[in-house]
Amino acid sequence: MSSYLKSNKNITGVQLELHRVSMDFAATPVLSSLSFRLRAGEFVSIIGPSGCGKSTLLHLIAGLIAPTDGSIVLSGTSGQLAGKCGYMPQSSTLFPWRTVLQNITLGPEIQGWPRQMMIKKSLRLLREFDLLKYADSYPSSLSGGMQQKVALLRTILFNTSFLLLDEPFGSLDGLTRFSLQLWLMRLRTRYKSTVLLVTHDISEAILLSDRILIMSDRPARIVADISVGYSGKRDRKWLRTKKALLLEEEIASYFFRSQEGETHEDR
Amino acid sequence: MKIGRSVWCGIGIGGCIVLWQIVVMYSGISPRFLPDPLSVLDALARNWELVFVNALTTLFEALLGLCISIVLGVLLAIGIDASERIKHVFSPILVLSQTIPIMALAPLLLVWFGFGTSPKVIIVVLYCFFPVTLAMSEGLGSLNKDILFLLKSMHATRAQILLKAKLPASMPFFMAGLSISVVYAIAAAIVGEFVGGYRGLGIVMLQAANSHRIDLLFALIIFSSCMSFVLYLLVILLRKKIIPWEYRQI
Repeated sequence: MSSYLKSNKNITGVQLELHRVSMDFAATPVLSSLSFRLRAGEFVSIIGPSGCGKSTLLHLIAGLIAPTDGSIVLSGTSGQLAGKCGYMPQSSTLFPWRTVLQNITLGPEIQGWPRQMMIKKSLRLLREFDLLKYADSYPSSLSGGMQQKVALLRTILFNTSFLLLDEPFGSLDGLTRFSLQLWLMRLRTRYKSTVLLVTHDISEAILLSDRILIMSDRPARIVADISVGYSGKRDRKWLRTKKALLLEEEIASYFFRSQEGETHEDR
Repeated sequence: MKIGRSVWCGIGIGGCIVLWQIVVMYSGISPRFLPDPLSVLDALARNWELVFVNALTTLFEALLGLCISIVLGVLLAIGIDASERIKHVFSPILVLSQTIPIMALAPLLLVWFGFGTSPKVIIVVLYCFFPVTLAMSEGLGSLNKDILFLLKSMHATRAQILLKAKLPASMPFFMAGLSISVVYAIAAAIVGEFVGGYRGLGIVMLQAANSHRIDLLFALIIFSSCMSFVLYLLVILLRKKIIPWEYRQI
């Protein structure tokens, strides 16, 4: 009972390991022999072209589907992965029939937390992240940014140690997205969570990540594993530093290279 | 000043009554064929006890049939959603059940079940369970795929997925189906009573028609239609209780 909503500091070493993971859909290869590791507390982003299989990769790690080949070990266990991480899907998945408080208690309800504790911890979390006044509101009355905050809190309340986030800020405007990115940093720092983030936004990946994995087009492979190597404060200034700009250039070059390749093949 | 929705409804219904009165006054149609609204109201007042007692019987048959339809419809929809086999077995039967002329089935039900309540309730069920089943099936299948993924990633059981997501998500659909069924229910019970019975608005309607009491017949038709309308309004009120998230914006 004491493990509810605790930070991830007790988990050390490798938290996620994929070994030669492949996935086919109806004999069409989608992922091809992916191997990588995430250490506990790491923030890793995955960038890749649209439709390359990034969401499929998250589905595999979340235990929603089984790989055609290879193995996935999450927090020391393989096989049944469902329920071992906090997964936030791409589209808005707040339940319109539940209030904010009822939405964030969804995970604990499924896990069978005692009701009193569930409410207490949820209210504490809402207070800590400035959402307490919305506890009794329905999602439809919240802005898009606020809805994503609630969805993130629901994810973290279900599992603080490992988060799988599938383009959580993709549908938001630039300003809201930036404030949510900083908010996510705060959440992650507080709970020391290991995070695997799928994004299309290179700046977002540089702002938030310790490492960035770049995926190729289908059948997707990891074509680069780039260490961001920055331990300072993550803010707008960091994105304007020479190091960040060079990183952006380096990441973008992988996409331009593949597009140039396509153009060349077209000719 | 902004005029409310109920005022507009009142204007519509009041307009129809006024038009009816004008047609009777100036068309020259005999009151034996088309009585004026006041005569109909008078016939209703004079026969109030008869109408009320028989309306209770019809209402009971309609509500019992409606309740059975809801239980059957919801259970069948859950079964269809849960299993492809159940879906394949029941889908054609469901559609076939609606192609049968229920009016023609009524005498058969009378032979099988007699003049009591059962055949009327069965007819109400045959009319009402299809909209509920269809709407509920649509609702259960309407759940956002990502919500399903989210619940599965939390290792939710099938029962948890049904109770926490599919049933609440299907409630707006269910209420739409129910609002159609509730309008059919009274009319279906009356259809059942036409074929044979001891009590009910349908029986009184037949008696009124046979004795050329057209004013009473009109009164009974209007009264039964008012009963359906009240039931429909109750469903609309219930809708606000059952799906408050569609109305409440805090």
